[in-house]
Amino acid sequence: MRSEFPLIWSGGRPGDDYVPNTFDATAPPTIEAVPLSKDEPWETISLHYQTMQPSLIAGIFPAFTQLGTRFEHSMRTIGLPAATVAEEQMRVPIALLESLAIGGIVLRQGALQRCREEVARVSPTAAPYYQVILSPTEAPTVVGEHIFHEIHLVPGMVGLFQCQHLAAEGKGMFHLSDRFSWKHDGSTLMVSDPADKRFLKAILPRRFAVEDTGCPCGESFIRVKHL
Amino acid sequence: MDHLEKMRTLFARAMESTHSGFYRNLYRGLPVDPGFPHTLFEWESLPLLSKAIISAAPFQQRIFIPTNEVGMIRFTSGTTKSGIAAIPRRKMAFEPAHARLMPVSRYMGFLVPHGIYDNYAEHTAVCIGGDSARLDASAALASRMRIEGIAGPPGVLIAFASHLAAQYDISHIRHICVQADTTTKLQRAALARLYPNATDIVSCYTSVEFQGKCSISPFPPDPRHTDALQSHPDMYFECVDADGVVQKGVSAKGELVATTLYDAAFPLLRYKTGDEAEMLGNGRFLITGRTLGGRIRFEAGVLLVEELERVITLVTGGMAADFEATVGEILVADRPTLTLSLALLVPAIYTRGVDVALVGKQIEDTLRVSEQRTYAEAVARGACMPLVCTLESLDYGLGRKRRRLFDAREQ
Repeated sequence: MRSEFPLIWSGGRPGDDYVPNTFDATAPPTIEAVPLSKDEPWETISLHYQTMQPSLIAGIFPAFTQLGTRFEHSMRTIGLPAATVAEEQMRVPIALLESLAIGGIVLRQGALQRCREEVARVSPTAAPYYQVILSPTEAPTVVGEHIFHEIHLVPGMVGLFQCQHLAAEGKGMFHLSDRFSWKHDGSTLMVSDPADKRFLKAILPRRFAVEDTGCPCGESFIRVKHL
Repeated sequence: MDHLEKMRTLFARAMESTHSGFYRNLYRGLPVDPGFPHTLFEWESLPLLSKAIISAAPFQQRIFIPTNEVGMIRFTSGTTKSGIAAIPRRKMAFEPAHARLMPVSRYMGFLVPHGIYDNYAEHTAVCIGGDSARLDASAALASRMRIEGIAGPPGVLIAFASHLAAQYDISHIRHICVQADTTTKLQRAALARLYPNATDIVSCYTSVEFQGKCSISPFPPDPRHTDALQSHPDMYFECVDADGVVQKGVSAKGELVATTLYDAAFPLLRYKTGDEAEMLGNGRFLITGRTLGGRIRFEAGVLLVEELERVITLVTGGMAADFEATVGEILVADRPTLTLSLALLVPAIYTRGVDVALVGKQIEDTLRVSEQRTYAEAVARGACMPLVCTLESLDYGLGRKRRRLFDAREQ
């Protein structure tokens, strides 16, 4: 049985969203359904919205991940228009880049390169920011001032993320989501959800060092060594 | 608010200058005033709307709301940019269509793209989105969710059955909501066979313009008449003859015309659904067939679905009673670009161990478009599009241009 990383969770409540425990749709035997409360925000959506002030954000996701549900719910929470499209159809919102003034694009890393090429082709002057979703085992491949990476523990559940300062600094630095409790022993990063124990523990197999200061946003961050 | 009052509100909104010009263009020159329509008779003077008229308009015109009021936008086509729908920010007007139709606690829907389920605020069931491009993974997720109902286009649901059965006790599927306007009776029968415990297979009408939502609401079947459909309070139905004249009264027959009276992004006003209907009174009606009938139109002539079915059955040794024919831009083996083709989806369960490419070739050689000419010869002359036989549905998320070729085959 293959798994992206050890993960234990329990239960679910009426009204919860359910997401797969993996981004890997090629491994059906290992797929489980993880309950996520609609009340749990996708906090980085609003974070980047506050700093970048887009008028509309596009979400480009594989349907399997159920990220569209989480994305649109978050967008409604902050009261911003959202354009949601399946990954295979990313050309459509990009074709509308100028007429709909899409200021930000949220997508999986696998779609980033193609998306940037499409944006450059359709509207060379457009400069949307990219919020790039990584699985726990993925590492950023492209860095840039307006390319914000985040590692999801399961689709829609942000564990590590970059503010605009960390994104500009490099690909190995992340803030830790304060929704979770974090422990580390230098080689693994363990995360738990103290709130309701539904999400109990996950271990990210990374080497990292904790930096308490240095990010202009004032938050501590970790420097991941083997990304 | 009665139907007439809703029509007035809807019409006024359609004519607002801040909205797209689609309906203003359509109704240009009509003698309408701000209070239009004052009577149903006036309403019936409006031109009928068809899929062809919608498709001919630039997509921006179909976004029926000002850009600054866009709440959510859904896209359904990667190549034509034609399937675009926008939902007003000021009012989320999603129809909890499946929710009403699916008395189950957990279901998976392929009919709507990800994200829409969250709008079913009053819906207590767990709704999860299927990915038609990854049916095995969707089946895994569905089995973990222990789903009891599914919704989607018939081809996807038929293909999904084998994936789901491999991982799940398919008898748990009790309810199916199927996209009615692309479902043949044969497909419906196939669904009943593949999902043996699905005692409730109901119809859901959608428009290709709005795959993200049910533009034409589904109609819960009236328990007193299993074939009858019940209109929704926010829908208005008419029955028109071939000249577009409204046929009234119980037992009136003609083509079904629907108007969405709710606050949709792109309301359909007097939209011809392509269904032949018989009105039963009290808001109930029977769908008796499709106006196009079982015909495939080609430059070379007309191909009867019966003939196509006969040949498929002959070529596959009597196994292929269930097939789906569509026209779409697909990659054909010996052509470098997407080519408009006739695609025949024959479920794998009927052709196990058979080379589908060979089946396709045999069909082309056996099928006759006229007494003098086989389909293969017509293709060679450029009179027919290439024929492709496949085991898997050709579209649904692959970004290919696709449109339904023919409608319900009458049994």
